[in-house]
Amino acid sequence: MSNSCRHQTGMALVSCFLCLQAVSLYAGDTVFDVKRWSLREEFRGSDRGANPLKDREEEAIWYFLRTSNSDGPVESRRWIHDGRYELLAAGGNGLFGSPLEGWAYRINEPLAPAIGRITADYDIGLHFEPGDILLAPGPDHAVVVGWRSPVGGTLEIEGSFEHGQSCCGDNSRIRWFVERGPAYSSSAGFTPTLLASGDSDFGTSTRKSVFQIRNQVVRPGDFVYFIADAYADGTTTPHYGDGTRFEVTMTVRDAVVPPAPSFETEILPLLVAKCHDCHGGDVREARLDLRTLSEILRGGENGPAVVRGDPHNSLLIDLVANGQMPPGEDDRLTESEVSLLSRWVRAGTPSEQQVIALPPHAQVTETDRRYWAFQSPRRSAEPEVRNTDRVRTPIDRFLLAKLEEKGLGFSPDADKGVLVRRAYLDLIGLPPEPAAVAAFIADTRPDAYEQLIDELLKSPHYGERWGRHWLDAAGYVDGKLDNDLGTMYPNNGIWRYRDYVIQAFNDDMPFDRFLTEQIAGDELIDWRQAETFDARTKSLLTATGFLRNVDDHTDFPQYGIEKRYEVVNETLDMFSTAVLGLTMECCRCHNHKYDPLPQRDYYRLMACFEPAFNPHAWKMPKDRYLADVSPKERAAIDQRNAEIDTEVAELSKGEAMTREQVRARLYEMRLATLPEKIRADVKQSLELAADKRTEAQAALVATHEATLRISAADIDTALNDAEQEALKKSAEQRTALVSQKKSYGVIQALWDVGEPPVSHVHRRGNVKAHGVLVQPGFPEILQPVANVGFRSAKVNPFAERKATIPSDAKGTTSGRRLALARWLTQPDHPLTARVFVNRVWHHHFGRGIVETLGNFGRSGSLPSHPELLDWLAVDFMEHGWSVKRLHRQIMLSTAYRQSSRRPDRGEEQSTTAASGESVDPENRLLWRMNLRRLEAEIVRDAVLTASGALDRTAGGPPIEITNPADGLSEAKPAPTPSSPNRRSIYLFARRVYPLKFLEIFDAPIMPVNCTQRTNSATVLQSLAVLNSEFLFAQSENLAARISEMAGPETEQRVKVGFQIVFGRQPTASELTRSIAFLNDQAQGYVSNETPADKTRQMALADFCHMLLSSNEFLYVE
Amino acid sequence: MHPTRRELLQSMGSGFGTLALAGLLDHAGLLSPARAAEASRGANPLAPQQRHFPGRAKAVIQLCQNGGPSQMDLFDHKPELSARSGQPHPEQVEVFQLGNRNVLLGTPFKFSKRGQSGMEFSELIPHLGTVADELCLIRSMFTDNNNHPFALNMLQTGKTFNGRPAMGSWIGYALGTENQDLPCYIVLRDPAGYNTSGKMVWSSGWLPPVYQGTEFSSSGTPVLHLNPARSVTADSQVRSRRYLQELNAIHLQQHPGETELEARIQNFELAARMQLTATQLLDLNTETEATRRLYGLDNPATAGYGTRCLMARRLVESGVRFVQVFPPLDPSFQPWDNHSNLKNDLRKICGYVDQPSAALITDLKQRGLLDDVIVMWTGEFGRLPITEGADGRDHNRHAFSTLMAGGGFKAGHIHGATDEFGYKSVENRVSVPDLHATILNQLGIDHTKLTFTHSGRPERLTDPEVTGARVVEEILS
Repeated sequence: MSNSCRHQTGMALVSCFLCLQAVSLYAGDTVFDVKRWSLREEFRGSDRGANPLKDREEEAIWYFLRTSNSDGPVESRRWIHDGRYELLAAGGNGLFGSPLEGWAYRINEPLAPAIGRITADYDIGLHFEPGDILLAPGPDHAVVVGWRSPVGGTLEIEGSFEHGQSCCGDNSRIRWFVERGPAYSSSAGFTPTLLASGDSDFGTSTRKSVFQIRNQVVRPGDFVYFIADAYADGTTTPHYGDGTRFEVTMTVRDAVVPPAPSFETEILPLLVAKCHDCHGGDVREARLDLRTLSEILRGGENGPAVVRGDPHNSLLIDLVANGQMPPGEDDRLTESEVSLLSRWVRAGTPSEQQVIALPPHAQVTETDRRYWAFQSPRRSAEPEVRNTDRVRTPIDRFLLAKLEEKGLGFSPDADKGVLVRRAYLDLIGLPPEPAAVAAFIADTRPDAYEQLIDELLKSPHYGERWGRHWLDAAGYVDGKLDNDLGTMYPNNGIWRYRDYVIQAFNDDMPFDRFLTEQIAGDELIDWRQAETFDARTKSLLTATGFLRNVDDHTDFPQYGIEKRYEVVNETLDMFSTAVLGLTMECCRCHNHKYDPLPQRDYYRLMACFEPAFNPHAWKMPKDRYLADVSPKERAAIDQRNAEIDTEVAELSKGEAMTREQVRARLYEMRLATLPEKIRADVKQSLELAADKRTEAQAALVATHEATLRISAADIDTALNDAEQEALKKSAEQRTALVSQKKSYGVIQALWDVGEPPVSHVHRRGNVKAHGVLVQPGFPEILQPVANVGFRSAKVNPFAERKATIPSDAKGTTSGRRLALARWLTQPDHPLTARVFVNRVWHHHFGRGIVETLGNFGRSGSLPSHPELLDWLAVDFMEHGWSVKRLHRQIMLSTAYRQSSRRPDRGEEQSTTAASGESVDPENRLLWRMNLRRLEAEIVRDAVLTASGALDRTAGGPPIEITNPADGLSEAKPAPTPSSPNRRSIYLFARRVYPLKFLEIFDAPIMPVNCTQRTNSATVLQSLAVLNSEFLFAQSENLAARISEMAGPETEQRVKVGFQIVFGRQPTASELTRSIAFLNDQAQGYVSNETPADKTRQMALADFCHMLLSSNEFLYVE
Repeated sequence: MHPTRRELLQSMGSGFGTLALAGLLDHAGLLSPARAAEASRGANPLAPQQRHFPGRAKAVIQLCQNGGPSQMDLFDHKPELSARSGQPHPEQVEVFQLGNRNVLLGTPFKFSKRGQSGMEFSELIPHLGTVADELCLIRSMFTDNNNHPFALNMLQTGKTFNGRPAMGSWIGYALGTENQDLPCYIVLRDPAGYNTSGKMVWSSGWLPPVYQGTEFSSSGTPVLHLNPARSVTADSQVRSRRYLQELNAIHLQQHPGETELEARIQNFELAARMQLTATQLLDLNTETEATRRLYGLDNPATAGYGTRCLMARRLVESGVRFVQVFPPLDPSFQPWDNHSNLKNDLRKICGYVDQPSAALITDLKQRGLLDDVIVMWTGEFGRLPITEGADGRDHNRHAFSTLMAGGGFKAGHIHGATDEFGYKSVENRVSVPDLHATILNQLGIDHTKLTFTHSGRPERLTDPEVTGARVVEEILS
C-alpha cells in the first residue's frame, strides 16, 4: 500500500530537517550563523514560478504586489501608505515588449506596475543586463516587493534603487520606501513602520539610491516591504516609471528556525474554526474528515489531505493557499495561517495523537479492477468444438464454440469470386480486375487463397487502405482553420505524416514501435545536436505528427492560455480514444461518471504531454514545425539566405538609384524644352498636391504634365551604355545570388519546448483554477496493484522528480512521452493491444468484438467474445506486434471466408441461415459474414478503378480541392491532369469540408478525431450517384473501356461490364434485361442529329452509370 | 406523345414502391429499451415520432444572427449608458479584443416605444417594431464564451466545444418530420458563402447523419445534385432508373432481409420525388405580389434575406421540422460583428434583416401558422457597453437579447433585465440551455428525457445535471 512509501518520503524530509539542526548543534548552538536571501538570485519568472515565489526550502518568502489604490487623479497622484497590497497577476515572457519575464498587473494586457527579470541587454538610458531586476511603477499603482522572514534573528537589509527613464522629461523620478509591517492585506490595510525612503532621479547624480538598514529584530513571519512609486509633484503628469533597477539582500544573523507547530494547540483549533463545519462531525463533504490526524492522512475522495513532509503535494495546503477553501470569501485563511499549516506539514505533521493507518477512500476500488477491460489480457485454451472440419484457425474454435452453444454453425464458404472481391476491397481498397478474378478462380492450388492474401499484403495499396483507418483515429487533416469562410490553409508538410503511416503499414512496422515513434519519435534520437538528418531521424520526427492533428487556433495573440490548453486537452482526448480506447474528456472537469478514472489521472496523463505542448512556452502552429534538415544546417541556410537577401536588397537599391539619376536627368532635359520664364512655375506647381494648386498652377500642370511625365520605358531608352551595363550586371548578380538560396522541407512534429511546467489539476476544468499538483503518470486503474500511482520507485519512471528520463531517451527532453509509450507497449497493458486488434477485427467484419471501438470502459459495450479478443491480443504481441500477420490470422479463418447470405423468406428452418436468423438475427456470433457498405474513399477509388482512370501515384503533397460556394468541391487537375484521379487518401483532407462526394458517403467531419465512422443511407447519396459529374464522367470512361475490351457485341459488353463492376458474370435474366435496356436506351437517343454508334455509346454509358450506382457495387458481400 | 418530364418523374417516384418492407423492426427486441427506441428509427429515421406530451408547436425557424447583435443599440435601451457616455466603466469589463479602453459608449440611435406592449426598440429596426406585440423579448440572455466559434457552438449545441449535435438535429431526431419528401432540418444561407463556423453550426455531431442540416440553396438548384450534372432527357432518365431498380431488386433477392439495401432502394425513389417537391416548393413565383413585397423581394437590399425567410415559411408550411436562416454576408461573414464602424454597419445589416424578419412573423400570423411555429431571432452573444476604437463594440458573453415569437411564447412580453449599462444580465437570467429546454418543451419534448447513447453515455442537448437547464415557464403563455 501507498502509505508506507509516503511515510518514507515524510521521514526523509523530517530527518533532513533535523540534520540541519544537528549541524548547528554540532557547532554548539541551536541557531544558524547567517542566512542570506538575494532577490536577484532567487527571482523566478512567472512561467515556472508562483507568486509568492518560493525558496529552496519551499517556504514562501518573496511576494510581488501592487498597492490597492492611489490618491487622486493621475496628474497629482500620490500613493496612500495604508498597507493595502494586492498580488500582481502573472505576466509571462516579454512585458511591454521588453525582454522581461515576471509579473504584471494584468495578464492579457500587461500594465504597470510590473516587476521582472531582464533576459537580454536592454537600454533605456540606463543599461540593464540579463539577470537584473526591473521594477516599473504604474500610473495609478505603486509596485511593491514583499519579503517574509522564515526565521527569527537579527536582520540586515542592503540594496539600491536606480531609476532609468527613456522619455517624458522632467518627471524622471521615483520615490522609494522600505518599511515593516504585518502580512499584506488587500482589505484591512495597516500602518507600516518606515525604515528608509528616498528618491532616485534619473536626471541627477542621486540616480543610484542606496540603502542599508541594520539591527532589525525579526521573528518568523515578519514582513519587510520595498515600494517604488512614480513621483508627481502635482504640476506635471507623472511618467509611468519606465524602469528601475532594484537590488536587495536580506541577511539574518543568529537565525533561529522556528519549532514545528503543535497539532493540538495550533493546527486543530484552526481546523475547528475554518473547516469542521463541512469536513468533520456529521457532515463530511467529499468524505473528508479533518478531526483526527489519522483521518487527515487518510483523506477524502480526492486522496490524502496532506502528504507528510510535502506541503506542495498536499491537497489541503493547495486549496487553502489558493483561496478555494474554505468556500466563503470571509472565511479565507490568512497568509500566516496558511504558513502555519504548511510548516506543520513540512515538519512531518507532528502530533501527540496515535496514527492509525486507515484504508484510503479509494478512487479505484477492487470491484473496479475486476472489470474485464482493466485486467491484462490472458491467453486461454482454445475451446473444444464438435464440428472440427470447419476449424481452420484457433479463431474458428472460439467462434464456433459459442455458435454451437446456441445450436448454430458457420455458413458455407463464400464463392471464390465473392472471396477474391472481399479480400481485395478489405486489404487494398480496390476491386480486382476481371483477369485477377479469373486467375484466382482458375487457381486450383490448395493454398491459392493463402497466396492471394500474401500477394495483397505485399501491394503498396495495402498501406493506403489501412493507413486511412489509422488516420481516422488520429484525426488527420491536411488543413487548419477550416471554419473560416472559404479559405483553406494547408498545415504545411503534415502530409509527410500521412505518408509515414502508409509506409509503416506497408513495411509491417511492429505496432508497438509504430506507437512509440508516433508518441515519442523525437525522444528516441538526439536530433537537436545532429549534424545532419538521416532518413531515420526524419522519419522519427515525422511520426510525431500523430500528435499534431487537433484543431489549433492559437496563431492569434488574443487566444490566451485557455486556448492553448484546449489543444492539449483535445490531443489527450484523441490519444485516449484512439490508443487507450477510453473516453477521458469528462475527467477534464470531474471524476469520470462511469469509469474509475479520477480527474487527477487525466492531469497526470496530461503531464506526459505538457513538456511538449508547453502552454507556458507555447509554440503557435505557425512556429511549431521542424525543418527536414538538422537545426545546424537550418541555421546555416537561414543565415546564408538572410545574407543573400541583404545583398540582393543592396543591389536593388543601387539599381533604383541609377534609375533615379536617369529620371532626374531626363526631367531636367524636358523642363529645359519649356519656355524659360515658366519653368520654375511649372516645376513648383507639379510639386504641389493637386488640391493645393491655384487655378493658374492647375492650368500649367494640365498643359505640361504629359511632357514631363517620365515612364519606366522612358528611363530604359535614356540609359547610357555604362548605366545599361551596370544595371545588367547588377541584375545578373541578383539572379545568381537568388539562385544560391536554399530551402528545406517542413516536418510537422512535436518536441519538448522550454522547461517542463508544473502540472496541476484544473478544478472544474478551469485552466486558471489550480487544484492539487500532479506528477506525470498513467491512469491508476490501468496499473497493476503493486505499481499503483507510481508510488513504488522500482516501476515508476517518474518516481523521482529529477529522474524522469527513461534510460534510452536521447537529447534534451523530459522523456515523459517515451515513458508513456513504453508503458503502453508493455505486454501486460490491459488495453493497447486489445484496442488495436479490435479495430482490425472491426474493419474485417464490420463490427468489433467490442462494438464501441473508442470506448472499452464500462459505458462502452461488452466484448461478444472476450476470450477470442484476448487470444488475438496476446498472439499479436507474442508475434512481434505484426499487423500483417494479424490480417492473415483473421482472413484465413473459416469465419472470414463465410458467405454473407441471409435466409430467404420461408426457407427451411434447418438451414444454418434460417436458424441463425431466428436465434441471432444481429449476427453477433458470426454465423455468417456481414454485408458491408464500402467506405467513402473506397466508393470513389472503386469507381475510378472500374473506369480505368485511377492514377496510382503514391505519396507527396495533397491534391488540392476546390471550394465553391455551392459546396460541390472537386479535386484540382494539378500538378498533373490526372491528379483528380489519385486515390482519395491523397486528396486534401479538410476538417469540416472534405471533398463533397466523400462527405456524402460519411467521410468523417473531424472537429475531433473519428474512432468509428457512421454508415448512413441518405437520399443525398442516391442523388450523388445519379446526378454528379463525377459519376457521369467515370461512366463514360468505363463505357469506352468496355467497348475496347468487349468489341461491338452488346452481349459481350454486358458481360464485361458485369465482370469489371461486380467481379462476376451476369445471370441469364440479368443478361436479357441488360441487353433490352441497352437497346431501348439507344433507341431512345435516336434522332436526326445523333448517329447510331453514338447512341449506342450513350446507352452504354448509362448502363455503366447504373452499374456504378447499384447496391451491389456499393457493398462487399 | 411523349410524357412530360414532370409526369415521368412522378411515375418514377411512386411507381416502384412494390417491395415489401415489412419486418424492419423485428430485430429491435434484442436491444435494451433505450437502444431499441434509438434503433427503431433505423427503418425510417424521419418517420414522425411520439412526443413526450402534447406540444404547442410543430416546427422551428431559427433566424441565426451570427456575429453578436448589439443589444444596447437595438432592444435594450440604456439611458444611463448614454448619460455617462465617455466616462470610464466602474469595473474592468471583460474584453475579447486587446487594447479596448474601458470607456462607456452611449447608443447613437434613437429609441421609441412600439406596440401595445410598449417595448422600446431602436430606430434601426422599425419593421420589427410593427410586430412588437407578437414578440417575447428576453433581455437577460448570457452564454459561456465570448468568441464566435465557441459561442455559436453553445447556441447550437449547448456546449462551447466542437462535435456535438445541433438543436435542429436533436429536434429532428426527437420528432421526425411530417414531409417524407424533404429532409427534416434545412439550412438556408447566403449563396455567397458560409457564415462563421460554416457547417459545424448545423452538424448532427454523433447523431445519425440523416439529422444533419441539409443545405438548400436559395438561388439556383435548392439541393446538391438535385438535377443531373449533364443534360439527359427525361425518358432516358426514367429508363435508366428503372433498370437500376431492377438490378437492385435482383440484388436484394440475393440478400433478403437486409434493411439497409431496402432503405437505399427507397431512397432512389425519394430522390426522384424530391426533384419535384423541392423544385416546386421553392418556386416563389407562385406567391402573391403583396407577399413578395412584404418580404422585400422587390428591393435589392432585402431581396436575399427576404427570399430565405419566405422559403422558410414555405418549408415549415409543408412539414419541415427545423429551418435555419442566415443573414447576408455583408460586411463580413459575421455581419453583426460591429467592432468598428458601428453607426454605418449596424444600420446596414439592420436594413437587410429587419423587414424580412418582421414579414415572416406577420405572414405566419396571417396564415394562422404562428401558433404552430416557433420563430427564434438571436445572435450567439451580445456586445459591450464600452467603446472599441472610436465607433465599435467588442464581444460580450454576459448579456444579449433574444426575440422569440409564436409556438406559445408570451406575446408582447419582456423578460429579464441587464444592469444599468447593459453589460451583464442581472434579473431573471436565461442561459442558452434554458432556452433550449424551453423550445423543446413547446415542441412536446421533455428535455430531461430526450437522450441518445453516445460512447455509452445517455447524452442530452441540455445536459441538465451539469448546466442546470430548466424550462423558463415565465416566458410561456
